[in-house]
Amino acid sequence: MKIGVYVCECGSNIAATVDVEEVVERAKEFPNVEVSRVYKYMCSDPGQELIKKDIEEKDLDRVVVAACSPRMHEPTFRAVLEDKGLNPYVLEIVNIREQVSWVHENKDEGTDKATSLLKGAVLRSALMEPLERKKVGVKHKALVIGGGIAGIQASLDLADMGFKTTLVEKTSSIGGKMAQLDKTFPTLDCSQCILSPKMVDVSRHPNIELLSLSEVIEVDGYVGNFKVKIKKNPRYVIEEKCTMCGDCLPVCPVIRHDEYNQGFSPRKAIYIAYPQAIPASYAIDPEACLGIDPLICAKCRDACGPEAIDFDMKPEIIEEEYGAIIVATGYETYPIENIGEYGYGTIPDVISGLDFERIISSGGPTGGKILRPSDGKVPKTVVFIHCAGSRDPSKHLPYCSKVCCMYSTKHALQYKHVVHDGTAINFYIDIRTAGKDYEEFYQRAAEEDQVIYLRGKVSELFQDGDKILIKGADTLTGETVELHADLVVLATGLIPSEGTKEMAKILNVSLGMNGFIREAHPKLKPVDTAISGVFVAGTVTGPKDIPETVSNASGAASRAAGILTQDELEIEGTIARVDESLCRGCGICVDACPYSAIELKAINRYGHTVQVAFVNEALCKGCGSCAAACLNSAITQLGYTDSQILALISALGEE
Amino acid sequence: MSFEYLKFGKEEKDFIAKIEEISGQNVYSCYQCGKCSAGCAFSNNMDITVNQLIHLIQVGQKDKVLEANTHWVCASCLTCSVRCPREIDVAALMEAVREYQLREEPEKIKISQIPKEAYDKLPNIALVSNFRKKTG
Amino acid sequence: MVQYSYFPGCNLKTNAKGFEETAKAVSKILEAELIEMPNWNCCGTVHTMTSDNMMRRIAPVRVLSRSKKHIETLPEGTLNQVVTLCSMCNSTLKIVNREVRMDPDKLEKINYQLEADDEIYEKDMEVKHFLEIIRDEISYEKLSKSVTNPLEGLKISPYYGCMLLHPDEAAIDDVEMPSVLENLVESLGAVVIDSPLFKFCCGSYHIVDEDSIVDTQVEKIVEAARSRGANALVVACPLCAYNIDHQQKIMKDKTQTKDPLPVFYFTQLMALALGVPMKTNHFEDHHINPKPLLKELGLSGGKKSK
Repeated sequence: MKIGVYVCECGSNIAATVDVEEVVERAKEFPNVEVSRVYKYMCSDPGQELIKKDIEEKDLDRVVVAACSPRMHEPTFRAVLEDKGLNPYVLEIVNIREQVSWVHENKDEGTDKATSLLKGAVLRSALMEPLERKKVGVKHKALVIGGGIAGIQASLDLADMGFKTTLVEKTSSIGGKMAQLDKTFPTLDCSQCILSPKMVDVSRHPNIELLSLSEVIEVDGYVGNFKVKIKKNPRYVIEEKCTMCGDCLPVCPVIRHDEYNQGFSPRKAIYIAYPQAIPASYAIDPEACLGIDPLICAKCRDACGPEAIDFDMKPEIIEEEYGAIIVATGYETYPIENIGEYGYGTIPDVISGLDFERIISSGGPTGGKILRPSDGKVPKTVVFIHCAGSRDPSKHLPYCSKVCCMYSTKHALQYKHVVHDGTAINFYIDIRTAGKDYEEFYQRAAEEDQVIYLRGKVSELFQDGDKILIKGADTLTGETVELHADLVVLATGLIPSEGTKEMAKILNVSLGMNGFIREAHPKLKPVDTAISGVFVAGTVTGPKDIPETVSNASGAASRAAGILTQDELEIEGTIARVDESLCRGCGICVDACPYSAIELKAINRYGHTVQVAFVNEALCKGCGSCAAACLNSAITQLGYTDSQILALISALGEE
Repeated sequence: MSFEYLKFGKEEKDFIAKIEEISGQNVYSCYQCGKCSAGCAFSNNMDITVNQLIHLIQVGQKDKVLEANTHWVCASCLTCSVRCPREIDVAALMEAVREYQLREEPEKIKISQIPKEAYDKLPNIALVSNFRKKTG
Repeated sequence: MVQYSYFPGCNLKTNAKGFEETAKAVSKILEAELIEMPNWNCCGTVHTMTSDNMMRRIAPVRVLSRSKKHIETLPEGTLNQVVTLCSMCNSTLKIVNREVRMDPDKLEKINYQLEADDEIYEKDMEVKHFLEIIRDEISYEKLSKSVTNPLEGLKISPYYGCMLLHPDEAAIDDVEMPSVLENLVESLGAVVIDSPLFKFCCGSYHIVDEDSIVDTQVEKIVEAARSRGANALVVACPLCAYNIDHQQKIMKDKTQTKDPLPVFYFTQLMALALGVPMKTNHFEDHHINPKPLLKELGLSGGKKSK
């Protein structure tokens, strides 16, 4: 056993508070130390050469470097070892900069502490073993779950890069919530107009397989090799044959609330979500249809010229393998039925933000005319209530939903554009206009469109005759405000969608406190999750506006591509290893693992079937939780074994 | 004349601390949305609104708080507390301001000055609750 | 015959005799008898909202502990609950009960005072308002079936007042859209007129020294009900009843305002519908006499043939 010790001065960074010469001298006395040197900048080329020369000439088998944090130069020094044929995992780095020099002022104390840490490292180093980096293969296909703008953008980016991508969407058309919006702030671009070209691109792209009316029901495997089961629900209409002529509509006897128009207009059991839907085909809603199996009505099939209706379609299970997955399952809006002081959703003229989008949309239930749901008259006074359900830790959502100040301003502005002599009043607490050109938009609404902003939250509202009485406050003048409105629009916030909850369970990604998927790091890894190979994009992680969502989607696509471009993935050697003979199959390690990287499998031991833990080396991140949790000490954390740690601790314990 | 509007000296801090202690509420949770004032059934009789009183407590303006009639007009109906989005028991803050004054001068209502006929007519709970809120 | 330990509170014996007597009578008919607990004391309403004044919490805790003793003398199987008629008592008792359960220090200090009389409270009582008993244990169906004189012609606007629904922990129903009084009124055969001011505070204790505040409130409450077609109000709190009843009379004498609306306790309505003798209602204590309205609608006295 021959250990080489190298202490770095790091200019005055370390040398100022640690007497490095002294440390090097003391290190020569430690067991197994063959050579002990100091150098001004160990990470520099000459510094590295110093180590390389010693490895060769002195036949070293372990190297200890005392310098800055391993986060800085662990890869650098590992490369040095590899260059000279040593296993990179027999390198030990001692942090005497951040952990000693930068936090102590007294040089004597600093020197003693550095020596102590170095001794621990030397004792541990003697026990370190060479480790292997395993390789796994990669399937070059991507799966995108969710067909809103985030999923659409991510799929297009991946497909343009040349990867085969499957886009799975639960409903009959992609487009998501953005397809329901009328105009987008702050440019007032028509939402459908900017979205449709992307949707058509998806349908035409040779690298994208679009599975609509489909759901992911099972995901197994690990990064590079996800085994996925997708359930494709029957459309009962053959997509390629449907010409969208609409001859089936008049003959269908069933009427339902149209979900696309928020229930304000009717649709039939055979329907198309909206004219620009992709796939461009009608679909039959099996729950609305009078009967498919056994067949009861079938009038639509008789009326269909191109013979596109096929009642024999059955659900299919598609099994496929993917290298990376992007979850983009979007949001729902907070239901106004939950807010008691605003009527629990029972007052017809009190509507949500998304309801208003449909009313003002020219493709909506009123053809773009702003009419009251109760009597169809044009409202002359419209009140917009911000923070309806958001910023309310007491009974609703504790967080701010980010986009409502902007969309309420947009609504007020749009209302004034259509009803010139109307009054728009926005009750707000704070106006949040943090995006590009957002503040100017707010200024425009107030200055050019005379939208009235009153600072104060509405306490309650109720039906008073055919108007709605609002009890609010103007905190800036210190008065209560009571007024009658013809229409009230509640700026409801954003909550995680049903799809998000389901996917989180299937993929084993953790949800944050508010039900949104938790990113790997809120600041530096916004599109990764704790599971390798699973990425996220869009409002699935929290409220976002459209530019952010699109950036997110491209980011996720690029992260996914990082995996898909490779033929093999290397896995870090410092993973957990189970000694099967000691494992009693209790499963505590499975619960302890945050990465779902360990599971119990049945094996045959001397004729008995027992459960034994197996580590999925591709998913294991070497955190050591399982090793610590194991009651039988059956699990070893490679590179950080118990004996190594104990040796380190005993050195630190000495005077 | 001093131009220092906001002082955060000992007197101000003691006042805020005492109000928080009696009420058991964190007065800084209030983000001044005004929902309490909007829903208060007695706002029209108050010289400054409920949320304004709370803001004055937040900035330690003891004199302005004690001069207001807001907390005396309050009838403890608790509509504010039930609707506050930050879950502040606003009525408890009003009670704390009342108590702050009553613990120095316990007789906001002079019981001896209530006419005898009133005693005979008024319901017991009116008298009991009135004395609970307006005497120390 | 199920029995309940009943806590009247001070007002039920004075201004609100009608409330108590009709309650007792109907509780017998519905086989859910209210048995008054002995040796009760005033609950000390309105509950104190200070965190540090324990003296003001002793009275309600003692009520709970004495009720527990009373239950020990009632038939086996009687639930550990004290039933109130007065909303303010209900609220005060519920809140203090919750406070001492959540904070053992508070309970210790209070029990220290009660120890001498061997009346410590062991956190084992629940507080119920009679409306909750009707809804949860008697059921509206049984009530409906027991009606002999349906209250046809009465258009009643329920007025909850604040204490039945505030704070959240003491609320007997949904805070923003309750239905307990509406269901009761409908079970008795009368029509419900919903008013948006169903819990708009009546002014409460300001009646003692600042009755002008109460006048404003009462005017709004009554007008909201009247303009929607109501011909009477139903309440569950003696203070609300007094405020709305008495101030309407004062205002009528002063300003010749429109026809005042009589105020009923919910148990009086039950008494009328279940055929209890008229004098139990003590309508003579009311300031706005409900008898003319009842006579007009043919609801005064005696069992009617169905």
